[in-house]
Amino acid sequence: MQSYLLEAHGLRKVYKRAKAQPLVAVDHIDLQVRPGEIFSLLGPNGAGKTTTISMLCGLLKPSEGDAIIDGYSITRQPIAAKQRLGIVPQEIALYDRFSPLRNLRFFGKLYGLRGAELDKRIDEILELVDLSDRRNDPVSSFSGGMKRRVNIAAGLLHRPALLFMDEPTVGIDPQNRRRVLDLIKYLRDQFGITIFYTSHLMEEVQELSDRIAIVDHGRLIALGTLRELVQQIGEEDRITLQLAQPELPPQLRSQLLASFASPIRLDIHSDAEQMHTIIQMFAKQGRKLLPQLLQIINDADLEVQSIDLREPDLEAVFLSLTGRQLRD
Amino acid sequence: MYKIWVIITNELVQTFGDRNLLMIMLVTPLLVASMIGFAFSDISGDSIDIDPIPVALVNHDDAVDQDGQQIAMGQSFVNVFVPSEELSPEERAANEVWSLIDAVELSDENEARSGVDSGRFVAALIIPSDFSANISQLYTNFENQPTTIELYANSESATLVEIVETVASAVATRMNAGSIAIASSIGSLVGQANQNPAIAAQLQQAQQNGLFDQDVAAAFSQQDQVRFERQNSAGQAASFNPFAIFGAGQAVFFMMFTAMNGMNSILSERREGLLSRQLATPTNPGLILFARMFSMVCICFVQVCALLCAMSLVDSLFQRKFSWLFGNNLLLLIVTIIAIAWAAAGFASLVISLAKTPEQGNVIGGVIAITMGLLGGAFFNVAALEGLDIVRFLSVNYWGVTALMQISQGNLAVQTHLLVLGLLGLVTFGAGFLLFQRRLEV
Repeated sequence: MQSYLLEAHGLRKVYKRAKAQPLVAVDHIDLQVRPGEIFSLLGPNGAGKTTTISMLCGLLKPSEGDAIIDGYSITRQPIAAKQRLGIVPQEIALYDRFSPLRNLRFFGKLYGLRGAELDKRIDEILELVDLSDRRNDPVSSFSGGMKRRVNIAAGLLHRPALLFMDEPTVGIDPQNRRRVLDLIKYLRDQFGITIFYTSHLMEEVQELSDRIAIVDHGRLIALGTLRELVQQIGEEDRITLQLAQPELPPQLRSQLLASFASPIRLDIHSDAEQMHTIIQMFAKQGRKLLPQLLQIINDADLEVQSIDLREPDLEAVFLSLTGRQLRD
Repeated sequence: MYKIWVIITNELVQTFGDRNLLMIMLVTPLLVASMIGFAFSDISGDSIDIDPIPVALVNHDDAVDQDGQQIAMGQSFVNVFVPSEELSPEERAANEVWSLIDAVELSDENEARSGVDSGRFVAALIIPSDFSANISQLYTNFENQPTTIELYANSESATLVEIVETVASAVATRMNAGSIAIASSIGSLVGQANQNPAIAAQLQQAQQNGLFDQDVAAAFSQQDQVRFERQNSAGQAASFNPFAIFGAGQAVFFMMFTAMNGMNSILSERREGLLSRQLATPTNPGLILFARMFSMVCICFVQVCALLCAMSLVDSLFQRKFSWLFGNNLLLLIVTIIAIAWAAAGFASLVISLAKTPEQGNVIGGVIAITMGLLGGAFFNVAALEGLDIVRFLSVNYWGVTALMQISQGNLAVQTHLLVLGLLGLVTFGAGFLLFQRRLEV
């Protein structure tokens, strides 16, 4: 029998609103997280990721449903459940004028750590995030990336079995982002910490995750490994052509639709204002159809501004499932 | 308990480690109170260098006969403010009340009122006809009848009216608590002596030995029956000190802002994720909220203590000798400051818990803190405004400042103030806690 570190059953959060219909932020989400895996919750901004994570951490009371963390219900045994989890919030949740040392001492004490044990943990964790030499400097003097690392350190002090990380790379430069992503993998590989990661950045999720759940409008629309998710949409390539043409001639449109019939999908979108037309084609092994597509365009004597060929990815999965792009 | 302590100490370090916040919390009120205090003080000496405040006194009091003695408490009250014409200018200057208040006794009440209206007088004190009769009830049945001296005031001279009211209240309190008590004891003894020859003989002997001279004089003499005097911590008579009055007012006024801002930081920390991080720890969320709220009581307490000490220090520097401005009962003073801090934190928690965002909390908190200051008499004397005089009782500032002023005058009867502040704090802290719990979903 498969054992899970985290199990969520029918999680739902509804906000009552004056003079409006209640807002369903999270709608009956069921998910399980295995020990030692990096589990990612992917979705566009406003999809319900932070609300979900807040309920799982016991920061918000679910309207319905419950979550079990290492055998303890977050709604009925919150203290025991919280002892097993750590949180890295989306915001830099630190006292800006305090040093990392003072910040970590404060949060460590709230986790029940004291004295020499607390000092030892702080030393270890500052070493881990490579900030030992800046332990006494005020956090306000740190760069965005350094603050993010202290933010992560504060969630790790009590050695949680499960670490919730809510978009921990928001607002930092590529170099620091790489550092944070490497740290997350290190935590999983070296310490066996289970990571529950949320992001709207497909590339990060794709790189880190063992399993991925996709949410949109508060609903879980897909769950599985990257390969399983890609298989759901039939492993289609996506080809995007941009033509310098405000309107596609009707004959050419007919010819394209006839040449690339089902199961190939073809979307043609003209934009008179931008003076261009975008043709998107979804097809298994779509790259083999590219020469034929370019030949037809060439015969019509139209100018191609750009070509983009993408293998199946989470962006494509999300687009396929919702008809929208993640960044919309 | 340990985690409550951790959260409170964290808040204290965070608050008092912020230089900008310290400027607002301590330096600004100290400067404001000092400036006003200097405006009313003589920097070069011990005495008060303030133009005497013109006040009219109208005495309607009818003297009463008590065991053959004429009791004229109204006249005694007048004598405190109006010096005898036989006194020399030096003797007049030596009296602190006379150097502070330029009182004139008038027989016509209307003249006094129109004098206030025209600005000739800052205030008029009107003593009712039954003043002595009501007070002397104490001698016969030991029940002190309520009697009221009317303060008819010019609302444009709020600060001066405040001073007159403070002095008049202090005098009236002394009359009630001091002289009347002595008179009552002697009246009671005389009554017993009339019925018991043995006691009469003892009294006669004591009288011959002069044992009662001082007390009887204090109780029944027409001259100097009641004296205005304030004691400092060394038990010595001290002068009326504007630093104490304005220091207390500014300390409580700025403390309300601290309380509002502190409570508002709960909403800010929720937005910044700091509160979430604390709530995600294995700690009872209600306990975290309570500790965050209670830390404001501690911060307000420290702020007021620091301000009162600083005011005394500033006064001492200019007096060139140590002077403690806030009475000689340190325990009572501490209890009073705790009650003020408790009520302020409770009131602020209720106000801020009604705000949805930190921005809303800032605006609402600021407006309410200023309103409380207005009602408490920080800017003008609300008591002088007809119809508005009752609303001052709703203000934490009123109860806090009057309690501190009374203590500074040596009047320790602040039980009512403590009770009101304690209950106000209890009700508002409880309501604020419940509303915060609901708003924060903890």
